[in-house]
Amino acid sequence: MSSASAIPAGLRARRSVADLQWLSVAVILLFLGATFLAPLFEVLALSLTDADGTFSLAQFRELADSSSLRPVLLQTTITALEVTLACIVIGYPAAIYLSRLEGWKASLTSVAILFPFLTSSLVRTFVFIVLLGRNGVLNNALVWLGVPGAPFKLLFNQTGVVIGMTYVLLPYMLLSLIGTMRKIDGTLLDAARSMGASRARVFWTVYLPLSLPGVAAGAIITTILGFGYFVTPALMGGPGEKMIAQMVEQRIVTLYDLPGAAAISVVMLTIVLMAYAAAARWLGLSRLMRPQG
Amino acid sequence: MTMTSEAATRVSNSASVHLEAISKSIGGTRILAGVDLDVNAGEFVTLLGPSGSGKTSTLMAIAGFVTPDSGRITVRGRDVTVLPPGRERDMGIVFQNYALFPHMTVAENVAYPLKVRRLPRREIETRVADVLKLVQLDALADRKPARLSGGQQQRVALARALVFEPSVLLMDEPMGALDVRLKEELQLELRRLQKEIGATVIYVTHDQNEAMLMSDRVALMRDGQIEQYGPGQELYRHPRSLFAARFLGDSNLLKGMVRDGWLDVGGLRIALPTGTLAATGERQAALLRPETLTVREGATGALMSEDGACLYGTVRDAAFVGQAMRYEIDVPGLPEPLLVHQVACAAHAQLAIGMPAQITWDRDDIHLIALGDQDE
Repeated sequence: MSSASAIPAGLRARRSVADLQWLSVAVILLFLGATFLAPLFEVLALSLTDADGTFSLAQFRELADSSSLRPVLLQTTITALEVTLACIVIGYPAAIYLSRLEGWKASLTSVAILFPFLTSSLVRTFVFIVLLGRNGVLNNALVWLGVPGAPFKLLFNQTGVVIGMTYVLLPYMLLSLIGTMRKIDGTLLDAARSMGASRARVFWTVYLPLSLPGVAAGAIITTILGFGYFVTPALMGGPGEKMIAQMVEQRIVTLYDLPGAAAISVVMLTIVLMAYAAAARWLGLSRLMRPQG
Repeated sequence: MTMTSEAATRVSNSASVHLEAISKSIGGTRILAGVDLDVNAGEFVTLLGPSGSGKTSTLMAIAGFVTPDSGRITVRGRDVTVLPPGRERDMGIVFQNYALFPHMTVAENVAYPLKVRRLPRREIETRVADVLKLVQLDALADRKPARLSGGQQQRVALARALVFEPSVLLMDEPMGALDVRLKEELQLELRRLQKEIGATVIYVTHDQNEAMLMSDRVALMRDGQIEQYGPGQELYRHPRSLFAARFLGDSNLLKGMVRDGWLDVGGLRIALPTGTLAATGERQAALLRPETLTVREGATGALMSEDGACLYGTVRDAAFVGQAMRYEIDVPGLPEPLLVHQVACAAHAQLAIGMPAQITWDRDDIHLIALGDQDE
């Protein structure tokens, strides 16, 4: 008889655990809804109204007609892709090295990679202005070394934007690459070597293919983040290389055209979501996130 | 699951391997302390030992992944001690975790060493198909390794190591991750296949049964050295040390001193095997394998027999383990109970715990191990 009464008690206990889990999920959903989804719908609603507050597609029609959006979109896309490419080129070899570290060295590099995130991106960008300016540290060094053509114009143009954004976004690429590379089984490389493959061949046929998921994941993150970046282009870019986030800011602050800004934001969000969906489809993002093996 | 002989190709390439005083220290620890080993062409040799005995390090030294601090490794008479792993070293390796390339299909995995050698595409296809037939995986050629069972993965690894007809095949505990049934099946299969193609195989395991089942010769390793090297039966029947006696199979070791043609074990007289030349005063241990002992109900109070091939005691534990009864018999005068494995059949009456027991054996089943100074 005692066991008969124990069963409902056990069930009740399990039930209350389940309730608790639902509660915690509900809290998270509520928080997300209030701080993220609600404003997002607000923006969406704003983009679909005209100056009088009535429903209209005027904002989007205007954007489609306007000659200003397309070059900015193109410029933004190019910048995001350039930054992603730079992150791959710089990040890949660095990640190979960093992924092989062990013990305290590995911990130290993890902290070092994450450290910039503790600093505001505004501060980090100002640091680059000091470094890259006409009389900045880098140019002075180049002049002193007698590099022909120095000092270079590294600020307030596309070069400056790409350098600054690469610096800011590189950690995302590094973390993604290191994570993937650490999971590559070293005996696979040994096996390939024992079968007669040269080091270069081992890299191209085994290491690189197995690290590609990390490259793809890192590229998606840096491209999407780069696409919407504001601070660095605003501070380090020139007047000719406006990015789309700056355009939104201009609409709000200078023109006080909230529906217009909202419409551009919706366009931006749509493009990013489409890019993400395409990446998920073509690169098999769910597969990328799964561990090797 | 049997491997077909029609597809088998003889590895004409198989070579002899010779290790001479191989030593290696890593971080101040001596992991190999002068390993000598001779492996004939076409021979199946197993490196057996507990973990940390240096068996995998020896294999990796042969493979070229560990460069010895001193000593010499020759393959077919050629010095390869410092040659890096690769084409020239020419060794097929089956790694413990198989090391199959997860991004390649079974066929691509097996083709890899052939592509490295830039063989014509036709030949690669034929050879891959042949070797996959040999290990009976031709139906799974287009699968990725992740979609294979452990046994299938192991056979892909084997096919990939065999396909380029290496001079030596090295295998590092390839059965470690498999369940017992599959293991036994694959052990026999591998053994048959090895004989069929005549490959030289150096195999690492810590499983003594596996070692004895598969190998022509077994090298028992301990503390970075080879303790004893010979056919499995020789190691089992005539171990040269207590370590070897204990490592292979169950054992009863009665330590004593030779006195007037008997072994005196704490006052118990044990007859020496016929023809033994052991002088009085020598310290020896008599190895009595549990399966060579016969146990029956004994007379209460009987303590000794005249012929020295019989002991009396009390059943301390009796357990049925399938093919045999496993007894532990307390014998007055012995520090540890005697272990007896007796075939469970009508000829032997089963004894119960607490019963008086008589244990007999044939004196020629005893093997004597000379005790050194450090042996307790």
